[in-house]
Amino acid sequence: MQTLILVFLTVFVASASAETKTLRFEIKTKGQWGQHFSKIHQQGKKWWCETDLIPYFDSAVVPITSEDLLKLKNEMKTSQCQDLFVIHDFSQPATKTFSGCSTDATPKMILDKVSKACGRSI
Amino acid sequence: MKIKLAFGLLLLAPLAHAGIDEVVKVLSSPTCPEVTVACENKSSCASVTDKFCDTLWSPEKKGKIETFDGVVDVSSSPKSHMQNSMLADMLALISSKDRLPADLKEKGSPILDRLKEVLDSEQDSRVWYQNLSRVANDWNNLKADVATNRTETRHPEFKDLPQDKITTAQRVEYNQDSLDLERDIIDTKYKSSPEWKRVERVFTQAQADLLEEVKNLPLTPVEREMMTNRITTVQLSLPYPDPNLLGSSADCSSTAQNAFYSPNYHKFTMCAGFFNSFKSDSALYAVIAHEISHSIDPNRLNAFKYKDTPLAQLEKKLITDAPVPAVKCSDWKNTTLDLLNNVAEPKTDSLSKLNDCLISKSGLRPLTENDFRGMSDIFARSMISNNASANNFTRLAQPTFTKNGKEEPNPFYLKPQSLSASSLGVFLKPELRSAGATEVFAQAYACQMEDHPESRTQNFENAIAETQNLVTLHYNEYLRGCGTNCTELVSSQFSRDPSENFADWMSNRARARFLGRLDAAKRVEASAVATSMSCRPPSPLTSATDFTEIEKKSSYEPHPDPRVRRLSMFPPEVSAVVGCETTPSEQKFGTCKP
Repeated sequence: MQTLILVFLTVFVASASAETKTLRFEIKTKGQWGQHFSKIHQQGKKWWCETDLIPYFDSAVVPITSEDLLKLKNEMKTSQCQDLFVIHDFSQPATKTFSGCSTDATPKMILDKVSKACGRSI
Repeated sequence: MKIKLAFGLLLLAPLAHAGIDEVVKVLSSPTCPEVTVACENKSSCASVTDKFCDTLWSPEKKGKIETFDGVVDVSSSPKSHMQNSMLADMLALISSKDRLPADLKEKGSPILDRLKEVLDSEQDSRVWYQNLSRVANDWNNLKADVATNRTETRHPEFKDLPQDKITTAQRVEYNQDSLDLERDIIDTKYKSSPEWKRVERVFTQAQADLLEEVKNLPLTPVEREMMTNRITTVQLSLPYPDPNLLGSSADCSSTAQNAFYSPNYHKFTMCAGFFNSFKSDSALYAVIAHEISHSIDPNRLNAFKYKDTPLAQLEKKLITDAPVPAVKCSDWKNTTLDLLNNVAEPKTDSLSKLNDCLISKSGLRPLTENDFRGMSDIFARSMISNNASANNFTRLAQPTFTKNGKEEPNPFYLKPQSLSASSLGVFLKPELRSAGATEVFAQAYACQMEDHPESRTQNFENAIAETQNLVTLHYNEYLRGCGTNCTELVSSQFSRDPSENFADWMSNRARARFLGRLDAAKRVEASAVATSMSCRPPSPLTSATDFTEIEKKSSYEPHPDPRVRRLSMFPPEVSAVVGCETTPSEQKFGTCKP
């Protein structure tokens, strides 16, 4: 009986954790006339976004990857900028934060990819 | 006095639940001057904007308010909680169905019909959102397929290329087709839409008003001609994501609530999320006039001063699609030596007194000649470091590479434009490029190799050093031109950039002209609506405006706290036309004069 309960619990916990919604990334952009956010969640193999535009949007592709964030490491902001971005990466054990000018080439490329994947731009 | 106060409070009490009509009615009541306290409130510009924002975000209005000249709608749909501007963008797409490019129309129509069906059954449920996502993703996939078909119809040989065999030039072909398709869709959706027509109409008004304002500035004839020319020639563009047209972000074409002036393109655009939310001339005017003013702000004027320097003239010659060296090597050596030995003197301009008034320079570190050199060196080192980290210099200097035992030409060899195309995804037209470290390096390395073809590594090292010297010189000349106004020196506490305040100051003066053309009865409302994009929904921030005002002083961000910005939209010129009053503490730069 105990084994049965254990098996049942294991299966239950495993299936529940596979479906657990986990916040992986949070992206905030702040322009002069408005601000936006995209929260990117992972649920099992699925990715979806919660944005200021819509509470739920199924992503057809992974909206942002650790490779994308690696590219941001070399970006250096030398001055103030009008349009800012902040990306919180919760996908690693220690949360990392990236920020800079959203109009610079590399951030723009990554933010455009997120916009398309999160339904900000159709 | 007590009686007057009580009477005033009595008058104001209904405002707590009033709509905009009631707010405007009470604020512009002609009987008010008889009643001191109510009148002080009645005539306060701060209360005009505060009441408007309170009403906009009241439980009744929830972000949507009808104005005398249109509607401000930053609300969400009650059925699905999707933002109304996003809904408007999708409806614009559905409406454009029959006018879409032929190759998109056939397969696109059924997808847009499905989108319409989904929107017709709008509801707040996970299944509904998933249906919407599925249709939106199908639409995006179709656009990608159509763009790919366009490229492969022109280049059938691309079809069977494996991903790792695709060159930068081929990738650019694919990207350009995708951008062209986006341009066609944006044109179809918005070019003839009433929302964009409104932007066009207000843009023309703001441009004309700013030209009148330039006439009032105490400028030299050269400065006046330049400013007049800048405002006359600034173009309005739909929010295209194509870097050869404008290069706005992907969401600017559809949902972003933003607007900007781009100095590289000398164009202004308003993102679709903005003109779908603020369908009011008064609201649009404030933003458009501000952005056009950036075409003559202190930053732009400094860039113009720099453009005339011999170094800038030399840099311009490096922007070419012709083979490197772009400048004859004998000329290059003589000119660069001359430039490095004679740093040009910066010129002053007639608006320096105004700029110093627009932004406080107190607490800045003193800026000396040594600081210019030191900061220029830091910026140049950073630029060299970024390029070195990405191996950009090696990519530019190595002529060939061996792949699968075969010698192949390096597509980036002495071609800085290819290097930028590999990250941008398109080849930029020469007139949109500016010379950076890669252009200088390619020229310097080509000349080193011309002189000493045998010293490959030494030439490479020398060319990097030469690039660093010239980039340092570039920053030195540029920074000495803007001095304590330099945006680049803000974070090191040497400067404060007055450009944003200048754009506010200039656009407010133009806006007084716009308000002056309205019936007197509409001016109060128009001045309130103009502040609507800086109204924030209730949050801990809106309940602690005193804190955020202080907090923003510690930020390098050029824009102030939203409420401070709203109040700054009532300088003397505006408050006189509207008939409201501001206190000296509310006037951010109201008394500044050139």
